[in-house]
Amino acid sequence: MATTVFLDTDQSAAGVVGTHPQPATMTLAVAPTTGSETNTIRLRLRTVACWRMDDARFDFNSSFIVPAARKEFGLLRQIVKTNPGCPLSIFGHADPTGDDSYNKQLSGRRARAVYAVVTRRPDLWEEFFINPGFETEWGTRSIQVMLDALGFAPGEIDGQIGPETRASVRDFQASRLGEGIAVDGDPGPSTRAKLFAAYMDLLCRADDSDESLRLSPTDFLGGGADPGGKVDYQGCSEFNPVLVFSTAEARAFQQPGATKQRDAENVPNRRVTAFLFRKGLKLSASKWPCPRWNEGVAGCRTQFFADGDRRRNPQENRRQFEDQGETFACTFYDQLAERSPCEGTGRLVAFRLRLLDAHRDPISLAVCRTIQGSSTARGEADENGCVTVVAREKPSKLRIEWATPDQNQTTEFPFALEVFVAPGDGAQGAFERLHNLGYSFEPTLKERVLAFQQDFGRRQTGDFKDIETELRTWHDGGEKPAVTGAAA
Amino acid sequence: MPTEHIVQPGEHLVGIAAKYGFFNWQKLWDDPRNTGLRATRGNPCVLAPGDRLLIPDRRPKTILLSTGRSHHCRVARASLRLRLLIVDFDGTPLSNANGKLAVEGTVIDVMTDQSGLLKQGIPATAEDATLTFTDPATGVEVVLALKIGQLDPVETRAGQKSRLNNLGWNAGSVESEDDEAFRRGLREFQAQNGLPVDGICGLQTQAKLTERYGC
Repeated sequence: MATTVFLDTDQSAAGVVGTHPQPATMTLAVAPTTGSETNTIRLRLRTVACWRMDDARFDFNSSFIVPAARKEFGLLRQIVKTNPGCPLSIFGHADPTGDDSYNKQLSGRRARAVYAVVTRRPDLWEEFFINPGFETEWGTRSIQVMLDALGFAPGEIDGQIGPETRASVRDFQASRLGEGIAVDGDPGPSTRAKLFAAYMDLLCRADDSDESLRLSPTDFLGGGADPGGKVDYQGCSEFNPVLVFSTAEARAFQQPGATKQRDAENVPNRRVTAFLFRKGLKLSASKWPCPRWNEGVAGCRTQFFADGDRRRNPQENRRQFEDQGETFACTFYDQLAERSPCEGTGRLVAFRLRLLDAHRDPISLAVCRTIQGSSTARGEADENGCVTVVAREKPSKLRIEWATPDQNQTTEFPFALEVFVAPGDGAQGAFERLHNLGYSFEPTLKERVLAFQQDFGRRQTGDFKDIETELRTWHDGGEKPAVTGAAA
Repeated sequence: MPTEHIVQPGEHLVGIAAKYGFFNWQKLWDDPRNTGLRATRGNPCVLAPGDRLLIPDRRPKTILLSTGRSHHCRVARASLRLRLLIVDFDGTPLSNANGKLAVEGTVIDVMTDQSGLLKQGIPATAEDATLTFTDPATGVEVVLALKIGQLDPVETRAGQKSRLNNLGWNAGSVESEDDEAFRRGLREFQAQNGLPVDGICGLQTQAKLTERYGC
């Protein structure tokens, strides 16, 4: 199972919190009157702080929250603590892949899943468990992940209830966390209720103290008054992206084989945000334009900018909210996110590396480890040998070590390379691409070109321009050149 | 000799009249030499900087009174009012909100009525005021700094921007040359009010803006 590598930076690799700079008091030009003329003043809804948790903390295409999210819940604990009495509302976001309705459901489920964790509502997770809809990650696999995170060793996390998993369930049921339930090895509803609750506690507990993030419905903007969570949490479907591709990029991503690349580049758009509002504010459902988490998109569209679809869809150039603004289709969300560091900064970038073996062929499901200074991060490549790496900014070079999946991971990784992450054009670009492809021992470009030409039976010219095109096709596109001539 | 007065930013007829010692601003407004201005502007409280106003000479009024008796003289002083209709972000009126209006060194207790309207008499020379109130529905305190008289006519870009901003459509600051923010805010206003969304504030849009804003 391919897992993304997160280059750990600052507090969290997959989230951020921030305080919104508050504008100076509104100064309004008004006219006095000797008659009945009036000045109509409409107030704005102001947010004071924000939190964001990135896609990495959910299983792919899922509302199941992974154990690593402890870090981001830690950030949420922080921002709530520094803004006492400021109510929250949670917003889920999806990337443009898939249709609006599908994404409305997924983004809504993610927002609700987060709400459930912080308010300790295992019953809401149970609803997702028994009605996963299009989601594939709830089920036995999620149970195994939770047991594993809690220290109950379920064996391999494979989605099958084998004997090891059953034993682990029994251990959980027999433990203090499973008080009151039958020890029968069956992860039924009552066991799940306890398991979800224990896992939620784990997600919200601080590493280094007794502190735990625990919110009540009244800590939210709607006060928990609406049973469908209106005002407290909702999904924005794909309507509010922070990154919009150019039309050329979007077209390229529609090509067969470009799916994984597209998904990687869309990482910044798949996120859950929460805004904190002015202290003491409470809003009733009637004042809130957002439809509920499980309702359709019609309500969203009533809030669109006149040119909302144009804003959120590809235009000539690639656009980001933090630079060009105007990527959100929804006027309401745009108002809330104004000045938000969670949407305007702290952006993540994603890039992909293809890991090759000694024959320069991709290693399916390679395990790998990146090293930056003193910090390391692990991940696993997909069937095509590609691993997605996510970071705050693209490093120019990255040291990565990798191994075939069957190699014992406690030994040194047999393959290691300092990769040039974004080779450019010309001679330098060719040098870096050749380096990445394993032609890294020869000191000069000419020698590396000659080595390549020898391997693939090309005429030995030593001129990079002779191999430039096929070098790019191989390095950037994954198509290994065919061997011709004498070497064939 | 009548004086010509060129309207400065923030000035309105009632304030100007008071400066020249006229209690009754109507005398200036109705003066035949100001017919043109009257026709153009319509609202004596919404003048544009640069507008020309003819100030007639002040003629002392002569009243014949008999001696030995006391007389009451009532001065016709036009009252100047501030009328604010305050609505929440979703357009619902802020009804029955208690607040304080600080103007020219005095703090007055004020309250919006059921429809969200706040009416308060103010001195003719008041230029700045601060309104602080607590929204009864949400419990949040709001502070508004008011520049009385700074609202320009709707025919002017500044006047259009101010109205859009006050109505909650972000049209950029009046001082800024930025056209983009203005056009964005204007388009949103047009979209919400059933007007052609063209980013041009023509007569139809101006009329709707005046209607929605209140002046």
